[in-house]
Amino acid sequence: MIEEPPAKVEGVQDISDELALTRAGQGDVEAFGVLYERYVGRIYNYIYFRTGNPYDAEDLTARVFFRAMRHIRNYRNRGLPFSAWLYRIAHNLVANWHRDNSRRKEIPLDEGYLWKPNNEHPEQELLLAEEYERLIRIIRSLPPDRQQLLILKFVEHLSNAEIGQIIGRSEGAVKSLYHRTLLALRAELRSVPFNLISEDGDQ
Amino acid sequence: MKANLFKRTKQVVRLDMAAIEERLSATLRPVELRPQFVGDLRSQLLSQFDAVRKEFPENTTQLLLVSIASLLSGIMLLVLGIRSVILLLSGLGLLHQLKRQAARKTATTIPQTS
Repeated sequence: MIEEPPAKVEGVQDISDELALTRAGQGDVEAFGVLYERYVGRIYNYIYFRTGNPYDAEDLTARVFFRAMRHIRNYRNRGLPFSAWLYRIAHNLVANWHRDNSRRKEIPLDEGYLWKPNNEHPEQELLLAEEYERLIRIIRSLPPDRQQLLILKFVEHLSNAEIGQIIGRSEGAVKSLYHRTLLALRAELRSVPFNLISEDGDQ
Repeated sequence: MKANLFKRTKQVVRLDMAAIEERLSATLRPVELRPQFVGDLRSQLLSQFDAVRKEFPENTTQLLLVSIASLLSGIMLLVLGIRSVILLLSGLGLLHQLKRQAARKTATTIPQTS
């Protein structure tokens, strides 16, 4: 006789964002914890690629969640995903961070933290690391909305529609911005001597 | 021939874009967070959750207080406005009366020549 599997009880971990938000707004700490766990990685990644510094990324990520916690009771659902709200907070904090650090010398990307070589050929690794650094530098020289678009597309693997919801543009506008960003990147890459080497080492 | 050239150029551009996209996806890879950071921040947030909520009162209460304050200041402004109009009118009346008195005085002091 085949036993029927027990009915799945909906735990706090399984609840939707909307429900978690409502509960967190009513003072449910666990619901806020669930939202935190769902989005901390994404927000950290977004900030990390915008700042290029793991320490500042941690600091700003903490600030994003503290700010969200302070205002979660006043959060009004306007049909946008919760992540859009968090990204907006992160975007504003990163903008402030750039403004405050504009006079300070830029801290280079921590290679050891981000670039994990797993190749046996050190020369090839060095070239790849250089290429990586150059590309990151070029990306970080782009306007903030374009950087945000690239991070959301390539790091978070979000669709144009989802990105549109986050950055407050239509899907078509995102597509167009993406195309213009690629064109700008291509122009930048052409102006800088750059070896487009594939991971296999082919030129 | 021109059309073919245009088609080829378009293809080259597309290939170029594809290469850039490939590089982007190889470069922009998600980074791992320090588990200690995630844990520490979680416990900090959850331990301060109630305190922070109390520190920031609900929006509705704020809205109610702001509305009452605006109503009271509106009433006060209205009363002040009425008072200043009354004051202005009484000032004008006083001035008018003084003028009339002065005119009456001059009329009584000037001797009639006829």
